[in-house]
Amino acid sequence: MHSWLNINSNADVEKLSAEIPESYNPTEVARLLKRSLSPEVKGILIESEYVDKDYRSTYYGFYSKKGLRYSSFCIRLHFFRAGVSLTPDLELRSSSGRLEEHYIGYMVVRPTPIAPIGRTVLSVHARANADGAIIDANHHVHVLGYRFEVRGFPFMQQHTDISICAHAACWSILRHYSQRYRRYAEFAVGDITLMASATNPGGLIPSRGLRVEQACRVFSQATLFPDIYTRDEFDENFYRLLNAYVESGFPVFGALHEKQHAITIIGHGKVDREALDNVAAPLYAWDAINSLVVIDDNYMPYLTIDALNPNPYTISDIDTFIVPLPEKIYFPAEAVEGQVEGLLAKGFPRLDWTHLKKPVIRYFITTSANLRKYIREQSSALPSELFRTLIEIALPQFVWVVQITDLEDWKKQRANTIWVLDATASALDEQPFFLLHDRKTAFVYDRGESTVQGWFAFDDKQFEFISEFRGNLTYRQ
Amino acid sequence: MVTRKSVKTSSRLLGRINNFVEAKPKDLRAHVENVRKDVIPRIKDKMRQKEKGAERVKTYKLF
Repeated sequence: MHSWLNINSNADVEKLSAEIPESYNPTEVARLLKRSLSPEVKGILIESEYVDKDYRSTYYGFYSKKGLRYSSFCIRLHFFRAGVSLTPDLELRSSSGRLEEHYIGYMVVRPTPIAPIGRTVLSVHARANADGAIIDANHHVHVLGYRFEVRGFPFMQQHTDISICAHAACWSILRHYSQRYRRYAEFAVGDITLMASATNPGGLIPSRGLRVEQACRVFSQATLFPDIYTRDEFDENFYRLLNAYVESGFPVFGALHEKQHAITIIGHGKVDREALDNVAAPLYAWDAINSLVVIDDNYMPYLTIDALNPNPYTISDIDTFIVPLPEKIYFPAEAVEGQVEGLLAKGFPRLDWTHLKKPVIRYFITTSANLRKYIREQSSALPSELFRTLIEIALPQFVWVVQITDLEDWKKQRANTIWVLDATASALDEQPFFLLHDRKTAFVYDRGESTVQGWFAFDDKQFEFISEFRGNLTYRQ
Repeated sequence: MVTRKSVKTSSRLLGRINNFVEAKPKDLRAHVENVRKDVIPRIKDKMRQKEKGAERVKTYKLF
């Protein structure tokens, strides 16, 4: 069964109560949507009797065993921009442009009335006040014989019994990985609940909380490599390290122990380009970021948290994070900072970066394919031998890229370096670089083909600046 | 136009760069000493701290 609801104002979502049975808690669904849908949403297609793989993974293992009757079906809501309508013969019509361009996400509603929101992927365009830069992936949707695509990050509410906030955070990270990269398997929320157990309890049982160690076990079983960082041990650079991984396109599991809560950190808010004027060196781009974008199972996706507003919590409530990394990333963020600060303080033979009066450091991981795409896009600004070297040098799948930029250029979203470090280097590697350079000369370490190291001067032009790298996140600013 | 001449080195990539100068161990000795003395111990310390922290929080429960 399919029906259509026109949304002229957010108050119209209350009409969902007439379309959704009481056992799906339409009041709670409407409450969440009313305060978080963006004005871009002008129509909702309601798909009843929807078979949701995530809900079914919990239904077969748990809800079907309970004395209270639970439906095996879910309801799915599809969100559209203005100009779309549903005809009586079940055709979706668009008054302008391609129908696919009007699709901005979906939300599964489960028959679990305490927390009814199941698998949800919304475009940032469907969410009011979504801003900044986020990690996302394409998700395909089939309804009424149409195939739509939405770019977003997966979200669901915890079930409150067989899954809690930490399960929901693990699920959203793993579902992102399986959507974004072909090599990662898809896990339903029921699978994740079982993966967290050291022993097989013989089915799904109500959760008594999830320990950090168990979250790591879930990621390990999904063939990711979790690394744990704690604020007490890192203190001054804890949030900078967190941001380095987020800037690398890796969603981060955040733990708020005071609140006994877990969230997924997937992006950051706007960069304040004036914020570093009065900051003492060394400057890090993180110091100009005042907010993080998170997936919290208690709120609609793309919640922004900052350093000051305690509602619902501040960035400083995050005291531990787990970054589940893909294979072949052995060189940690703290080692990158150590090496870069050492270079800026002590210099490097035959290279000179004294022209960077107030250097701003930004560093992140990317794939060598993504780096080369960027290098090709910026080729006109690069000395020819530097371009050729970066395009041709043998690189592993992942590299760390360090962009050091003088404050004035950084304010214009430019970068003055593309230093490349080996993400497969050991943390204590004395020379983890593939390439370092200044304006006139590059130092290259051909680690892959020959282990030859040396310098070459740029003979056609100086390296002045290129556009900041933005290949890991989707920017809306 | 840049003319290319082969530089004698075992790196095919760098051998094609006409003004490539291969580093001798003595060219990098001072830098490597600095890294050993100042950089590596700090990284080692951070790694040790990280493991200590991970051990400390692994039993914390989240709901």
